[in-house]
Amino acid sequence: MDSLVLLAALLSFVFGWNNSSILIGNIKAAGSISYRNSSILASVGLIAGVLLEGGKMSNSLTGLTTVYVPNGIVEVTLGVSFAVALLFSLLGLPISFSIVIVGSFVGSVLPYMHHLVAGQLLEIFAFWIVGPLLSAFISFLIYSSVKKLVSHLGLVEVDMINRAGIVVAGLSASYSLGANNIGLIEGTMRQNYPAVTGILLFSAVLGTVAMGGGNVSGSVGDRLMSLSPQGVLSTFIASSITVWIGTQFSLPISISQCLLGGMFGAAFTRKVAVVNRKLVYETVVLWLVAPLICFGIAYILSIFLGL
Amino acid sequence: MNLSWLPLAKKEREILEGIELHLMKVEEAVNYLVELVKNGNGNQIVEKIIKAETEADDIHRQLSLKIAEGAFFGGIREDILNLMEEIDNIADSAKDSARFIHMRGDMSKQALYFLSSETMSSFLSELRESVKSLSELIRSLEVSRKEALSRIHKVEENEERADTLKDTLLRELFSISSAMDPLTVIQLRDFIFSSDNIADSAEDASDVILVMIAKGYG
Repeated sequence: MDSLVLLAALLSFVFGWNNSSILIGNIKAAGSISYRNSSILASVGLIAGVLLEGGKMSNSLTGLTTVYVPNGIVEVTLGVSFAVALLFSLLGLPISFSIVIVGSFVGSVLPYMHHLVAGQLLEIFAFWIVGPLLSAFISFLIYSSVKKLVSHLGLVEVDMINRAGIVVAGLSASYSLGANNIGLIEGTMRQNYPAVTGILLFSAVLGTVAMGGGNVSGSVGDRLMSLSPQGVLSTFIASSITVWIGTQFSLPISISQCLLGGMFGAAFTRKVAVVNRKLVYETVVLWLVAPLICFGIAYILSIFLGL
Repeated sequence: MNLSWLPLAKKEREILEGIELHLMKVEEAVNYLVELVKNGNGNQIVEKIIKAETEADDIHRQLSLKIAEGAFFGGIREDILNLMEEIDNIADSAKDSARFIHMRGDMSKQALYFLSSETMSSFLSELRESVKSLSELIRSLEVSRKEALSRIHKVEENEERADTLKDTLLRELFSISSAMDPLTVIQLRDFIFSSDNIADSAEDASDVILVMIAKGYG
């Protein structure tokens, strides 16, 4: 197998592993469907996302440079991203894939700085700030509306909405995540053959399903903030919409960034919100530390290997 | 807004209907207890209470199995089981109370006089009301959150009134205790405590419903 495809497949596997709690954990936490069915739902979402809209991310990274990106740069990008993502996953820490991949790519290209398109890079950075805010706003709107609607319904109807909502939220999250993040990994490669797409998808699904019982990040709704089922549902849908918007503009973004924003948006509708400040702090610090580590390693490797 | 006409959530609707049926059996047991106290005693009535309690137990068991099979959102499944446990405690208290009255056979004149007092009658009526209010509260779960919240207060008010009447009854019992056989005093005191658990359990059930509303409605 081509080394690029192998690295991309390994990265996709770790992506599935690290995101399994978001893709499967939250659907399963609802307790209304089995692990098997939640795995199937997550897989369907991922596959649909990559096949239908993954192509929109094909120029996200390569569009950051004015010249043809040599395979060596892509290898360093994928290799460093994989190593850091694997380390974080083994430590049970959630990681933002888009940040890691962009950090590695910029690090490996920076020795040839004149090739970088600063405007495009700024757009990505700006979206990393705007994305969570947008997610917070959408989540606030959805949660307020859903709360208003369910207050007029009986318990059985509300329960029905909660259970269906968690499935819809899980499906939309896996769809948008597949399109944006797997699309981003796929976009680093020149060989966009169906077979390559199939290998990446298989690796991502395998990572999600096989490692879904792991301890990476746990159930987002439970660990970051005390939110009701409708709060989690609103947060997930808002985050999925934000990631989907990013995909339409070829802007890579991680769902964990949007989820954090979305949760705060949902929390604004409540008078009292219990926030796990330590975990929020850790997550934000990881966003800053992980790309810097990737950037540093990729930069050194790029010079060392004379790419 | 009632969406019960939709052919969805059949299992959940069946469970909610099952809880109403469970509570009907429990209400039956409490009504027989009131009848027993008014009559002073009666083997047949005690048997009816035991029968109603056993039937309530059967319904409880069947519903618990259905819930364990995966009905309702995971977050409130445990609360529904707790709710049914509290409802079952009401029937248990009715049965225990009946036993306290019945276990020593015929009661003395003073004991019968105490059981037929106005305070006792108000106390028993409050116990019945607390169960009735709980029943209305459970029915209101099919309507809306607002409706259910307003009913929760009603159960609490019934429990508070029953509690006040319990204190009055105990004072009245101890004020005439010198004229009674000490065993009868103990028997009546235990009856009061046990039957007061009916209102307490109804209130505990309403507390569980409050938790369910907080979780389910966000």
